[in-house]
Amino acid sequence: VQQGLVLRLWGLILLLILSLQAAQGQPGGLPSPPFVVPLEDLPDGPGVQGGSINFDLGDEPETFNPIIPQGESSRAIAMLLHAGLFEFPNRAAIIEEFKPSQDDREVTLRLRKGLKFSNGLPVSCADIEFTFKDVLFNPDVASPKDIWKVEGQFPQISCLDELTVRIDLPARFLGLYRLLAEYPILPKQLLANAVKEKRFNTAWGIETPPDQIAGLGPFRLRQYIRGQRLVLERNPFYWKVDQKGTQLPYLDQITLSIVRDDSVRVLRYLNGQTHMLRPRPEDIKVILEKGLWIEVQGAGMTDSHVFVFNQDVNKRGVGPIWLEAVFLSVSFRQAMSHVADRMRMISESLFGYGEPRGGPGIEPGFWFDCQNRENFPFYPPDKIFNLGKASQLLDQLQLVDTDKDGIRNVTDTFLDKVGIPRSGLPPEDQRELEFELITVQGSKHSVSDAEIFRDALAQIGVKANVVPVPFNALWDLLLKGRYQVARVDLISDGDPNKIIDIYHSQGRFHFWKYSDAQKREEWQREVDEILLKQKTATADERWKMLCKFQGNVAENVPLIFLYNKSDIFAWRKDQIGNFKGLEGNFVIRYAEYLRFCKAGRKPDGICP
Amino acid sequence: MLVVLLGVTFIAFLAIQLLPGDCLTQVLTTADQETITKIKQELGLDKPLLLQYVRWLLNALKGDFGRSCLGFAPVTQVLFLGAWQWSLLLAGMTLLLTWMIGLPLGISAAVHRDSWRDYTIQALSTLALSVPVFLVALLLLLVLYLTDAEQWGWTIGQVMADRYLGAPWSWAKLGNILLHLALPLFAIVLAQWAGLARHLRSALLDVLNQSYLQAARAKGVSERVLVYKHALRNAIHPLISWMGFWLPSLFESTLAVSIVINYPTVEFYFWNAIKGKDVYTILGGLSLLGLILVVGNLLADLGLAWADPRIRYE
Repeated sequence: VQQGLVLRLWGLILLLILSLQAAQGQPGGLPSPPFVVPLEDLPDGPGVQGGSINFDLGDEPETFNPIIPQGESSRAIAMLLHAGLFEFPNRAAIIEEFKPSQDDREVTLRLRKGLKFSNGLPVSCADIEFTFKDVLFNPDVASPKDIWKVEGQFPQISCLDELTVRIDLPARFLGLYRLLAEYPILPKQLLANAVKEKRFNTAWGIETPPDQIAGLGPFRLRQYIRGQRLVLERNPFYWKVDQKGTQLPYLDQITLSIVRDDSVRVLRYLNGQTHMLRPRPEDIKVILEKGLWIEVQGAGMTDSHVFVFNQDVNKRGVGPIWLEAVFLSVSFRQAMSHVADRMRMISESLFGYGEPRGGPGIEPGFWFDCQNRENFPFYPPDKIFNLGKASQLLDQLQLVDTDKDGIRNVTDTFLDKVGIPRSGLPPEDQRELEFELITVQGSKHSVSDAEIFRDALAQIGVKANVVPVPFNALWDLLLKGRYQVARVDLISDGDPNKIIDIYHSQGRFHFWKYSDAQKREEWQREVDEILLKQKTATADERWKMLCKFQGNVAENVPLIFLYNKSDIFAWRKDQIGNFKGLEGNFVIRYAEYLRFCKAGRKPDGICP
Repeated sequence: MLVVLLGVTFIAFLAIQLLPGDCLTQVLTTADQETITKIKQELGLDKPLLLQYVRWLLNALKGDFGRSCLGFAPVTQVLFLGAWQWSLLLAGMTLLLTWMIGLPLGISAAVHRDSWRDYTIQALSTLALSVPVFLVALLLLLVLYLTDAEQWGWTIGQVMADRYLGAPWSWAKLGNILLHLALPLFAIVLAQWAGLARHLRSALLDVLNQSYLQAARAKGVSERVLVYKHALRNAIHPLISWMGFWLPSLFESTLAVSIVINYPTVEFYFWNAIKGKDVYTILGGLSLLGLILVVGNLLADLGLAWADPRIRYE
């Protein structure tokens, strides 16, 4: 009887322990339920925990604060240390479920039970409320605010209970999930004082001891030696598991060395000191010669590499009125688009690793998803280069070489046609069609593109003088509208809400015609309307609107789109599996999926 | 000294404003207008120019050199954290090696004037001065890569091998650090010894022709004593003065090498600030550079007084 009692007592204790564990989450720091990674996300299949990889960052982190504006290296680190409520595009991440209301103006989210930050602190609704109300919407915090506003208001965040969050919106907001994926959830316990004392912007600076930094990302900071390296170790409380129940990340450690020089990073990769690299096109040959793997993925659609003609060139005091009249002509800009030899630029500037483009790209693949794309001007983009057509358009505009010096002139007929009075202007023989084309000093592809453009322009009697200037100077000139023509790289993540600043007539980066803010053309009015309305439209409506937007921009050519660079990665395929690529140069996509191929593998073989 | 420092920082402050763009240009692409206004207020960049400078100066006198516009870290942290020790090590070792190599070669060239030794030293020093420091560093890097220097414990782009980073001090660690230091040191010293040797040669030649040395030689003083005890002491004056201005040249060389071989020095972070037009970090760096220059000159003056009993300061 006594033995039976003891057994029953042990049974009770066991039951108690199990129920306590169930209440607090799963053993091993996992929440309940954990996020189970779909098999299709792991191209090399589930793995086992272990191993470490080395990767080079191009610069020091300026801060470990993931909210304030930062450089690419800080962002790359933040992506490994932190996570948001969602994963791009709208997959629930640290939340177990989310329920949008029928009118999409209210979303209820339920956090995973037993979820913990990387230092072991439990995550509750208070942390979500803190992140949004006290940090992201706080006027004292240097973080973007406009992107969160719908009809001029911030979303309302409230806690229904410890694990349930409610978000109320003044109107439907399609971009919400994307933003919730982009911004990380922060531990209130570690940062509340900084907010209270109004020093959040300097919180988590580079001197912060690693154990004072916590997040929901797959790794946590173990060591930072400035100028040399960061060591990130597995977050034992990470919330993802694979189909076999193995907790992610697979890797024990990621070592990020600070190596500023592009060539040194290539040497280190060739030498086997690092496992991944974003090579420049010119590095590809040497990497392939060494027998190392290179992967080229389709051209990303979001970055825009463009020529831009300043249509306010006279209003901003950097060019004569006749040049402004020329730049304002849609036919002239269309002619310029025909002069841009995109295929040659891809071949010479990108060593063939790119795809031509004739209009703006928004979400990945969007440009090609518009059903009426066949009707878009400048489509297909590889057929745009046509000097004959460009000459014809310029001739029709009466921009012809009147003084036979090989350079076209802005004729009296042209000025009369566009209604520019000629009094006080020099005679047409002195009004040469000539402009200054600025480009980024030291950027090989930008300078090369500008030179190719200049040479093609010379063939049709237009003179461009290529002037490389430092990056900061170029941006300053663009933002002040004090340039004639520029070759610019516009980097974006494809979020339609983030291009408003460029294409909206009142946008800060509307640098081709800031005067649109006072007086705009009909097509620009239509673009403005689309950009504002798409924010609160349904998905179908938005798709149609953005297609219309792309057609409008392609037809009116405010920017001359050139190409998209291919996504090129060099990675040790013989050693690592489940590599999902890099964003920019240094952000590792889904680092938690990376795993070691224990016995090594042959190219195209399986990762054992 | 203070007036010089004040002048340097004020001119630098005005010069920075003349450059197109500002440090917020990098932030501009990711932040909205409200954020930028906030950052400007936070850093005091919304105030009139003169007021910005005066505020910075008053705070600097209290040891607060302002904050960087990226990451908002204090300037002293941006410039020195994890960097001062490498700058100091590199500068100290460069100074030591430059004199260890430049001094005997300069003396030898002067003493054996117009001999094959003189010609060889002259040719080598001309070559060393003509080759840009960054090119030497790049070539060395390539040589070490091609010769698989990793087998000796050398790792490209690091100040020590991975296994020693964060590890406790040991002879092996020190050895590894010195091994990694060899490349930047070689590249910098190559240019520095040549300058010293040439200066010394010409100064020594002037002194060796003086009549008091001819007299000593006639008295039977040995050539060794003549050169090392009498001539060198007098010839070294211009070199001591030169030392005061040697620091900017060292700064320049260290910067080029730091960029090429990824050596985390104060010079590199200063250059980063200039590139990013990070106003307060530049001012902080310039104040430091000015201070070093002024202190260097002071030490040179004291050195002159020590070397030449005829010079006395009142």
